[in-house]
Amino acid sequence: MAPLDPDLVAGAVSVENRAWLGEIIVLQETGSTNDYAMQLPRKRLHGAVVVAEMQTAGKGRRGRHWRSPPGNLFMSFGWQFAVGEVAQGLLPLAAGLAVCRALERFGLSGHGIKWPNDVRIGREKLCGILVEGRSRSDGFDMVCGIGVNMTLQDEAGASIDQPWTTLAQHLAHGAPSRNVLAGSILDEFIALIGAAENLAGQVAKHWPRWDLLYGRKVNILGESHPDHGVARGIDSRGALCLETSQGLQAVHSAEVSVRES
Amino acid sequence: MDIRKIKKLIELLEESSLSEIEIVEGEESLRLCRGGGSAPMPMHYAPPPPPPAAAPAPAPSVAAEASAPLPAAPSQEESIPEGELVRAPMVGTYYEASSPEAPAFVTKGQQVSEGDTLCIIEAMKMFNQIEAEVSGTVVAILAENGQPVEFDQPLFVIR
Repeated sequence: MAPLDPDLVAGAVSVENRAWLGEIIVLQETGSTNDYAMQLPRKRLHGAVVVAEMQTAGKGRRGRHWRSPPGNLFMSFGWQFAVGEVAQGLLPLAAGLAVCRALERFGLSGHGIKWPNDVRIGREKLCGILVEGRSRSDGFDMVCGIGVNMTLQDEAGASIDQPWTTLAQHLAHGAPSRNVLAGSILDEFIALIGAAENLAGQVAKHWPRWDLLYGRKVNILGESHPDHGVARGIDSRGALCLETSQGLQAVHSAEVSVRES
Repeated sequence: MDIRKIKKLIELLEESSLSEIEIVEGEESLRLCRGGGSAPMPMHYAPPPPPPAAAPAPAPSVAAEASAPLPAAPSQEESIPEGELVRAPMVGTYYEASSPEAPAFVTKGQQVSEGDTLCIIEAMKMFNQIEAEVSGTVVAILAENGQPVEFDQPLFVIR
C-alpha cells in the first residue's frame, strides 16, 4: 500500500480547484484528523487538508467511536465562510455528494447517501462524514472529516455496531490509492463549495440522484419531530422533507432509520 | 403549543425590534403583537397620554387564533438578565457538551474567556461550536440540552 503523499493528493485535484488548496498535512498517527484541523491556527485553516495513516481516537456523531484501522482513508478538510454565506446545514450534504461523485470516477455504482451524509451501498456503510464548525460573529470555520473504508480487516470490523462494507469489496480492481481518492474527493468538494453562492443550487441539483431515502418510509428518532413519514428529498437548507399525516414537515436534526417493510 | 414556547416567543418579541410575530405549527397558529391589539403600531403619532402611575409596563398582547391559553406576561425574574446575549446562528439541536458522557462546556456562574466554546448546535449532523465573543461570567443559560433552538434564539447571557 502506497504511503500518503501530499503531492499525489494535490495531483489528483483538477488544476482550477487546486488553486483553492492550502497546505496538505500528512500525519503518521493522530487522535483524530478533525481535532488536529480544528486546532490549526485560523489563518492556516482555509483549504487545509489533514490526512493520517492512523487515527487513535477516530470519532463520529456525538463522541461516538469511529474504527480507524491502518489502510483506510482518514481526511479532514478546512474551509472558512463569511457570515451568512452558506446555509451551514448544506455542508454535510455537500460532503456526501462529493464522496459519491468521487467514488463514481473509480467505477463504483449502486452507492448513495442516507440523509444527511452516510455514504452506503445498500444498507452497508462505506464512508462516514463528520462536519464540525466554529461560529463567531465575523465568520464560520468548517472542518469536514471523511473516513472511507478501503480494505477494513475483519478483526477491526467485528466490533462495529452497524452494517459496513469496503471499497475493495465492490471494485473489480480493488480499492484505489488513498492519495488519488483523497484528491478526487477534494476536487469534487471544492467544485461544490468553492463558489459558495452556488452551493444551494448545486446540492439541490445533485441530491436526487444519490438520495437513498426518497419515497421510503422512515422512522425518526429524536425529540420534537414527527416520528415517521415518507422521505421526500430535502429543502433549501438541507433538512429532510417528510410527508406525514399532518402534511410535509422538515426534519433538521435527528437520527433516521429506514423502516423495514 | 406549550406555554413555555409561548413565553419564549414573547421574550423574543420583546427583545427584537419587531412589532409582530406569527407562528404556524400544523393546525395551530399564534400571533404576538407588541403594544396591544392586532392592528400595526402607528410609527409616528403624537406620544400617547402618560399611563396611570401604577400601570405595569406594557406587555405584548396575544392574539391566539387557536385555543391557546393566554399566558401571563413574563415576570421580572423570568426575563433575560442584562448582559451580552449569545444567540443561535442556525436552527438545530442544542447540546451543552461534546458527547453525552462529557461535562457541560459551561455552567451558570462560570467565568469564560473570549474564544471558549459555550455549546454545540447540530443540524444535518453538522456540529457547530458556538464561541464566546466576550470574556465574563455566564449569568444565564437559556436553552436546554438536547432541545431544538431557532435561528437567533438567545442561548446565553455573559456579563
